[in-house]
Amino acid sequence: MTNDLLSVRGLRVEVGGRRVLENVDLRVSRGEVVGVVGETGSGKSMTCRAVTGLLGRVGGRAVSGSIDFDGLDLLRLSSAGWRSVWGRRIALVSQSSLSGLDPIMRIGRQLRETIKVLAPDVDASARASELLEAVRMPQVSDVMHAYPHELSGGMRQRVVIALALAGSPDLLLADEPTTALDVTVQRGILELLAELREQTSMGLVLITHDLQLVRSVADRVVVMYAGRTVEDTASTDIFAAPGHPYTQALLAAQPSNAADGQMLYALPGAPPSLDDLLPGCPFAPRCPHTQDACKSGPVELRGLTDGRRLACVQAEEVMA
Amino acid sequence: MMSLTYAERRHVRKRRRDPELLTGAGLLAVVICLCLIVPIVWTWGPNDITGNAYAPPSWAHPFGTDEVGRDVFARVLVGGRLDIVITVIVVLVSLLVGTLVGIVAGTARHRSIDIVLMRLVDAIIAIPFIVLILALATVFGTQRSLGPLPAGAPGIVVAVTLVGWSVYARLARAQVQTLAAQDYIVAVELLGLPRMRIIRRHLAPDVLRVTATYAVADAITTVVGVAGLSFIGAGVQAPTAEWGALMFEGRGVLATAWWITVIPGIFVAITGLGLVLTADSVLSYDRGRRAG
Amino acid sequence: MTATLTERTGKASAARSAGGWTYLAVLRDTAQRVTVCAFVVVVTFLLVRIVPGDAVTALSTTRGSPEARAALRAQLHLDEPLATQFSSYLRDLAHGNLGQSLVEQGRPVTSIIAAALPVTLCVVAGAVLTSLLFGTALGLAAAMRPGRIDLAVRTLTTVLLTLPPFFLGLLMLFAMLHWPVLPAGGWAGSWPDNLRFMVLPCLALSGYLSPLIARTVRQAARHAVQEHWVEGAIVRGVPRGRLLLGHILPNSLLPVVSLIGYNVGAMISGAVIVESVFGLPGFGQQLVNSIALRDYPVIQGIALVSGLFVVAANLLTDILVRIIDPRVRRQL
Repeated sequence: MTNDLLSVRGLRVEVGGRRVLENVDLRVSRGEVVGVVGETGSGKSMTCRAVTGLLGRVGGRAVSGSIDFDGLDLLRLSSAGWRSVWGRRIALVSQSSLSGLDPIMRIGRQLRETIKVLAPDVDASARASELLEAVRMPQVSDVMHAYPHELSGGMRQRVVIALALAGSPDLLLADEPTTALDVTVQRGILELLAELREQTSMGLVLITHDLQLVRSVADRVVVMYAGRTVEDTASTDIFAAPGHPYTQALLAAQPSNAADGQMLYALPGAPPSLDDLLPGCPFAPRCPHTQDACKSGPVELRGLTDGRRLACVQAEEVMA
Repeated sequence: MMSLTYAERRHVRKRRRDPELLTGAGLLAVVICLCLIVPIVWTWGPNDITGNAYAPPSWAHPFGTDEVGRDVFARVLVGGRLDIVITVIVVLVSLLVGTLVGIVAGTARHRSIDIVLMRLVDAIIAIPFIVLILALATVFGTQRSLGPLPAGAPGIVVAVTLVGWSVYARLARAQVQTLAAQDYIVAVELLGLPRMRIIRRHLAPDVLRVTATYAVADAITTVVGVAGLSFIGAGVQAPTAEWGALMFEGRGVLATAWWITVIPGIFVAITGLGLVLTADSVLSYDRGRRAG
Repeated sequence: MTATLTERTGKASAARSAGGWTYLAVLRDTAQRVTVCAFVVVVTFLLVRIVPGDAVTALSTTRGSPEARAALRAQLHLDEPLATQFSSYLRDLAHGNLGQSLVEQGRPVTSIIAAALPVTLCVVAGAVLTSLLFGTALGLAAAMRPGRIDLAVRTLTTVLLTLPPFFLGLLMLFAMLHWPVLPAGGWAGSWPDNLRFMVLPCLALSGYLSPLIARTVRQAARHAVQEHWVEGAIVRGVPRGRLLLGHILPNSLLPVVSLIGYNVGAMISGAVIVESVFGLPGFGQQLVNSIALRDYPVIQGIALVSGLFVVAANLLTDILVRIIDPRVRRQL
């Protein structure tokens, strides 16, 4: 398994003294699509911030662990270093599309501005149109003259993706890119992302709370809970046989898994606040298979024979 | 008045210890106490002529004396009384009249009443404050006195009030518009409650709360405006003691007897500061309370 | 045409959200402002006639014999019914005639105003420019560097807010008397010498507007910096300098345009008093002289001209805001 693009190991992050990420492990290879799944508060957005160098903006700092990006140590990167990474090597598409764009500047101008910064020798207007076409934007010339609030949510998200692609980055992180959109529009964006991944050898990290969303697009799925990685499995395997009890619960809770007339499965309890965690596996209070071993000490992410990794004491038994 | 919910009461308690509010209210309290109480026990009166003209500040005369030897300390404090009284009268009357007009305009059955009133308000606001008041003050004359108010003061009170109510009216009407769209008003109206009752019991208190909050900020403009007017010579006249009038008196000797002009100015500034701090914290408290 | 309370507001908001063309909105704004102008004319007309007893009685302390007073009354048309007075007033206005000064016998009010207006406008314009510079710099600094600088700026603006411009002016005069760097009041009468005399008055007056601008810019910039799109721009590689000047600054200046535009009246007020402190031959000096001598036509004329000027400035601001903020454009 080549982890030649992004390798996050044992990442621990604090914000204002409070632990928000405990032990995050995330690996992405070139051209690979990794889906990061977890509920609100699991730390997926914070992980995204750490990888994109935006921790400082919310007052966070990495306490331990490492983030290696193609040989660069992102945790110790200087501002000058980040300036050569942002947009050119790592790009971000985030959740709220309207707040991804300067509201008083026309789309075309924002595109050209980014292109001029990232690829100064290229004809900015031509490249801008190219990018909009690459994201399947209808009526490119009208969109170029429009202001963000004049476009629909789906179109704005495409613009944000176009902006992210402007510098031909090696790694693209998409943080809940479709959450604020209608279901039909969601499909369009996902298909677009899938297409892009085929055309370029860009690594794509798709962060979402919706497990079904990553089914069709991702090569591998990383599941996060309580600020740490609990499972890392190929997507073909995870839906057939989820390893971690939390992943199992997530899948069971999907409406599509319930028969007509049956009560939807809901996991009892709520995700823990990271401040008052007991030692041991954070999922123990809600897990149906809990044993003493689960509560005694920290549970590490272990590799299993079939290439997946699980942070569960009873990995082999649970899967059976 | 609607009673406060538990969360709101907790918010109020938090706010009472707010340093901004404490500093502001504290400054105001100090100034008011000084002006009201100290002159009663002070050795010199504001109009007592000693032979000691243009004496610099000393223990006997903490703020020095003016051109005929009157104690500036006494004059500043007594002058403060006048400023306080004028400001309170003006702000209260403007507040009440303006809020009333605003509510009438916002709730009038015929839209034409609303339009006429509001354009009038706009016109009054358009003409620069000082210009309008100067014009009015001239018209009313600076020689009249009324009861305890010395020459020039009634003119100022009437003039500033005639102009001041307009801002409250605009504010009140805007608030009526916002409130009338709220669900609880719609509900009560649909229930068939008589219009006047709705206005009196539901709309008016809320509108008044908003305009009263603004009144603190308005007091700043009023104090400065009144002092400014007297400073130009269009308000309270000499030899009456009033901050602006004192500054006017001392203009010519600024280089030598600076205390006559500068010290009343400092008092205006301190009062203004107290009002600004209080107004800011009251405004943000109100905003916070409404935000829930 | 009666309506329930809620119906009235409902109609208004429905009209607002229906969207519409910019031209229609501008037309509506203009119509509104023109009505206000009409009321300004009426108010200035009534201004001088509000006093119990008529203007001449108030003038009587300086005017002498009953015959002279009667003649004056006739001259000012004060013996005619109010309606007739108003129509003659309007007729005169239509011809650009604002009457004649009572003090400078025969000199048209318009010429007096024409002489004084440029001075006041210069002071106001200069103060606006200065405030814009100071205020924007302070506001941006406070937003970009939270912590001590922010606290310092906030304290400075609060202090400035409480110091009335005329007091600031007095302090400056006082300082100049001891360290004569700039002229302590007065006017050169010719450009560019006037500039030296304008510095202190503009600075004093900007003490009113700078803190307002600084506060607005600070709030807008802080808000802008926290927005997601700024984060998006950073991650796209937009350099910090360009981010500040090309994105955050324009977003922060939008509210400043309305602030300045709607404060023109207050600035003229402030200018009047500051001119008085520094002895500049603008509206301020004219007004004070006219008050002392009860020169009603001049006072009325100044009130009218400045009122109309402010309304025009407000209308201009309405239009300007629509042009520069694309989000407002579509609204009615």
